[in-house]
Amino acid sequence: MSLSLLVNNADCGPGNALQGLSKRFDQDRGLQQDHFGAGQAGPSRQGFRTQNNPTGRDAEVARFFAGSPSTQPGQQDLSHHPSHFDVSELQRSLPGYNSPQVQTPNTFGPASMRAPATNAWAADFLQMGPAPSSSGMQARVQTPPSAISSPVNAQGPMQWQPQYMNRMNQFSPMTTQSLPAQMQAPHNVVDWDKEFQMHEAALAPEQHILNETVAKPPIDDSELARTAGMLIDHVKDEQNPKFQNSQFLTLMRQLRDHEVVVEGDKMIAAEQASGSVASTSSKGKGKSLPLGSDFSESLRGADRLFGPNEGAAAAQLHERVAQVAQETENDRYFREENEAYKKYWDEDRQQASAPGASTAQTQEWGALQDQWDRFEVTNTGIKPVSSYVFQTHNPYLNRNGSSTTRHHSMHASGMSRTLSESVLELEAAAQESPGDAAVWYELGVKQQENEREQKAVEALERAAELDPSYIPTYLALAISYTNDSNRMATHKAISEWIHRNPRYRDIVNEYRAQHPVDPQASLTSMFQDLIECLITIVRNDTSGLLDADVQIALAVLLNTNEEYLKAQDCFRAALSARPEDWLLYNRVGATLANSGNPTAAIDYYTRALELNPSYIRARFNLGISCINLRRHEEAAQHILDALTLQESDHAPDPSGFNEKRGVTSKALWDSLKTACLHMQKIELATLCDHYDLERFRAAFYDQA
Amino acid sequence: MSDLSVDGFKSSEIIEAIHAFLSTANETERQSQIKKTNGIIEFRISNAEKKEAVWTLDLKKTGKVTKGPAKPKADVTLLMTDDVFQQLADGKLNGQKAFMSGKLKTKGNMMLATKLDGVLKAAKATAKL
Repeated sequence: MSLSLLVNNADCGPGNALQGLSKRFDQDRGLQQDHFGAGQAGPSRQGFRTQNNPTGRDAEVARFFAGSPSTQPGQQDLSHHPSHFDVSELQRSLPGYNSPQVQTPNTFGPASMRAPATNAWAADFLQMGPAPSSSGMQARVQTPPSAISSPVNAQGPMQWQPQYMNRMNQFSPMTTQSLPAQMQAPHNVVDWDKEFQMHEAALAPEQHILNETVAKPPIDDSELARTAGMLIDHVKDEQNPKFQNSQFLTLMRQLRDHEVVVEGDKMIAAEQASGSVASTSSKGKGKSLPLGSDFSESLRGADRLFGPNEGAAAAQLHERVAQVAQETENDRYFREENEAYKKYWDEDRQQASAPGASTAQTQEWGALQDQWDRFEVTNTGIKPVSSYVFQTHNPYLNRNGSSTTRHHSMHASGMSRTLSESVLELEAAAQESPGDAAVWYELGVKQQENEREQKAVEALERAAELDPSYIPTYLALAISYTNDSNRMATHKAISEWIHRNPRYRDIVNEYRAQHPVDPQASLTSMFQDLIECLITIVRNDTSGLLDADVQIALAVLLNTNEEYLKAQDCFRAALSARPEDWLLYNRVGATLANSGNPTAAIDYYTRALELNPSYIRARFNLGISCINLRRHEEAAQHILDALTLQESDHAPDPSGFNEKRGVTSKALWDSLKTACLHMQKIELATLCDHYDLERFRAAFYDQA
Repeated sequence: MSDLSVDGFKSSEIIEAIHAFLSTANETERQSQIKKTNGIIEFRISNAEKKEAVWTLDLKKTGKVTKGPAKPKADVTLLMTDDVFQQLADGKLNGQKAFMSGKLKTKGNMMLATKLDGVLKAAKATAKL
């Protein structure tokens, strides 16, 4: 398995970086367990040196370690006062230092007893990490472990504790602050003892196997580090400071820099591993307890911060860690399992690296993919083709340019819409000037009026594509998307409308400066954000005139949020500015109907139909409200009218082949069928399935 | 009215509407509803005269509404009054609110009850803006 697969999200399938990382954890676990009882820790020593690089990252690391064993405030500050941590002071205060008896540590007494002291030392040492003199300290530092741990060996933990406490009083005040945290460790001594003995028992028979495999860990350790490094590289574009400073990332950085190594199923600081190898397992337990919980905590943090995909992967990783923590007793089983796993991966890697036919093919595919990617980003690349299909046999086409003059006259007179316009007329206009966004927009609006949502969306999308600065398109698109209950697209359209609107540019920019767009926000909060933005526009509009479009945009958003009462208010406000707009009457009606008030809605529909008798959508909505009021007969009549109007606006096809399909919309037929079913007229309902208006009309009036 | 309705219940109309929706909808639509809900919902509606009517909405296998209790066993049973069901269907009340205020009681898989809103909404044609 190549590492590029680990970090590259471009490949298909569920694989991604974090999942890959979780696999790594599986693999490394087993190998790291080989440290138990083995007399060396190669990778740890490497890590030991890197610790001394006086980089900014090390400061972070030290802060992490200083903070991780306990949550004491003020500890982080310690790392900024490195001068207080002089090991010589510590050494002086320990009486056992330099005594010969002390020079024979690590061979007698239960190893767990040494753990608390070494822990304390390790923490101290870590806090010293960022000290400017640290590079020179290395040599000195290598002696203390035995020195510190030895008195403990001699005296046992119980005696050691009070003495240690006493000695601590001699330390500089800053150091004393840091130590109490470490003092918590002895409480766990009994537990460690048990666990450690269990481990010893489990490990004893396998000692020889371990020794064989011990040589390998460095490789895998560095691989883990590399993986962690790639993970960090992969997310380095992430701007969120919270994420950047998260414990998860810090941990990943430490893994990369070998400052933390995986010991068995825990992660510990590299220094600890190198400090006293024989007691590794017991220390691993002691130190890693807080670290382990920190790790899972930081994973939880990662869950929140990553997007949904990576979040899922992080959750998986999290789960793994939890599992791993449980399975301490099963270590033996897992070692065997990991042995097999490692073999499998080695074989896999060999196969992958073997040059063969499959590799050549992969390269070819890769090259093709690269070319395709390059092609796709260019301007001439593939784009979704506008799929608007014009009706055939349009009588308005080729009328010596009369439809163009119609438009010219319309623009000259300043009229926005005329009653007599038909879809066919507008289609002809669009066909004659296919580059005119305004014509496409009008066609889209007309199709909306005619209750052909799909065609309306196609026409409007074409208009937006032709002229992105023609903003009425976005408002109309938003309405179409709302009707299709496509919330995401509605949001996008309204957002475009707001940000492209030249009239409110200043207000919007000001608002955006105060409320930056959060790309990770949920759809609901994104809607809330836009609503706030629109309200700000309304408040800051100093012209004194009510802009109906802003009200409509607001109403559409509220409608999508199912806040029908507020939406209704906005539509009414818009209506006060444009009292002759039949579209608005219908919208108020629809909002009323959707909030469960069909009776009131009918009044608005009726008003809309008075203004424009050929407004098919209002007629259809009227029919729906009648169904909801159980006036089925009436409903059927209205829907039939709507269908008749829809059909009248199409060009008769001389061939007569399947011509009516696509002209009348399915939604209307479905509603008509529902009405018929309610009227207990099954034979009429079956006629609806054939979309045959002629026969239905005959049958309907025959029965009525 | 058809065999689904029960005299003295306004809910009959709603059940009829759901029935009409399910029989009007084409196969893919019905399948998507079944997939979305995936459960058998039993309605026990009581009216002002303390009478009870029972309907079963099977959105697990058949995608049909029937009168009477569920044959094998309902995944969830919804108990409410005629008026509450009417309000739910009209969209004046949502299922969660009804449940919180004790107007709607459930037996069985409560999560399934939350899907009722979706069914009622789909059954009712929405007015277009």
